[in-house]
Amino acid sequence: MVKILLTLSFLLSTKAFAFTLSVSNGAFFKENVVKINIGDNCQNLGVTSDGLLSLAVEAAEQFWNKVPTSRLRLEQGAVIPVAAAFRSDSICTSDNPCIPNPTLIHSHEVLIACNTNATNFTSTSIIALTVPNGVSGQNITSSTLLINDNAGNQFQSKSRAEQISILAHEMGHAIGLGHSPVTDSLMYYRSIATRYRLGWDDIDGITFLYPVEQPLSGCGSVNLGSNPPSQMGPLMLGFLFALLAGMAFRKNLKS
Amino acid sequence: MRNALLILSVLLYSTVTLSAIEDVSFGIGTQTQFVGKVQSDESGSTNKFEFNPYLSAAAEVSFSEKLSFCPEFGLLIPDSTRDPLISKMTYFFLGSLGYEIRDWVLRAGLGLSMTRISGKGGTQVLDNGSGQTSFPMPEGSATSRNVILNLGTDYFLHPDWSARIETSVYNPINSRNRSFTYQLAVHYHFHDILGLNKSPAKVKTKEKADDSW
Repeated sequence: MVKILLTLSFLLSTKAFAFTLSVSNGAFFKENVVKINIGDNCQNLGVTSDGLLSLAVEAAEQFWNKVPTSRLRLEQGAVIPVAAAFRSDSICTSDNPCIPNPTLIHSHEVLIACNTNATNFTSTSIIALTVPNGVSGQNITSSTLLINDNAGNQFQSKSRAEQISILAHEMGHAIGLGHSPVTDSLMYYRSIATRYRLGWDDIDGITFLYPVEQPLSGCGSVNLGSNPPSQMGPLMLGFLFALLAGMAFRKNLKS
Repeated sequence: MRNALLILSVLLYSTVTLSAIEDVSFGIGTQTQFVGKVQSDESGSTNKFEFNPYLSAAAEVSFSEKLSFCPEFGLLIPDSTRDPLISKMTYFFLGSLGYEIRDWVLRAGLGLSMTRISGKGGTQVLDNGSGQTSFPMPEGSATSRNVILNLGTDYFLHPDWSARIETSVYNPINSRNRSFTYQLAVHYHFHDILGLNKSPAKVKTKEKADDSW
């Protein structure tokens, strides 16, 4: 018996995958829906601001919005005017760990802007960087995603599919995830041209930060989809169980 | 209050159905989660089949000669290990209605799939493109609960053995994150050993098997 229990405990404690976080206390957006906004300051990316917004929305839809065990939905925001600091300033006032530059904290949930600061981008090979720079307790209130807009930047030379996966990777940081050590994950540090879906690490990571809670609360509530939260879910589920139990009990009495 | 309602509902239906059980089975199988939604290598391939073994226990309560209610609990055992500091456990409760047609039982119902991810905290030093950064690891646990729509069929190879193919649909109404998971399993039925009632269809199956095996 002891051997069986030991074997079972070994089997049940097998390990999963390996994701990390971008904020030390595991912070996340409290909202179920987070807007992606674009700053109007890009010059060298080879796409317009509207085009960049379209890429960002596609990145959200192709990657993060598809996870069935996540309550988070990233949605299209708007192109908004941003201060000159978003183009010129360093995102951190000091590194390791990053102390966010207060000048770049905003109120637009996720903001994608262009930047040319030499501290941020020590070479053209660094395509983008992201910091959840508005953090209150365990809640992320805003994240800033900066794309290298220096002449000769690598973003402009990538295929549309790779640009989408690059933006999706940075969005992963924006919503609270760090890098993954495995190459089949979107959150692996290096861009791969054939990245079309999330890997298991990414799915586990977003599930940890934004778990679905069907049917009894939040975004779940037996909506089985996109309907707004409803209190009918638990009632229907309880009714279903009671009905089945009643049928079984009645049959048992007869026999 | 909400959790209490859920627990009360589960206890109520478990208690009553326990008193009317006509078959108990244990199964072993493999589950492929979120088919086609997970990138499995650098070349861009997505998951079509994954070997994720699971164990399950099921019961059957017959309402009539053909119709039955089949509650089931299953526990998935992940076989991949990448990080000793993060663990993941997936388990599910299903409540399906079964309809017998000869040696087949067609099943449809609702269930709850739960994924619990736990971390022990700490940090991990990883590449970041321009050097290395220390990334925090998750600490604590989180459980995702999904209502799933379940469709499947059993084929009785023998009165005591059945093969099962089953699919679970996550978010069936929402095309944005609708996802399919499928299970292949074999179940051993204990109705003979436990002296439980057998539905007429299974008796017929057994008589046929006695003739041919």
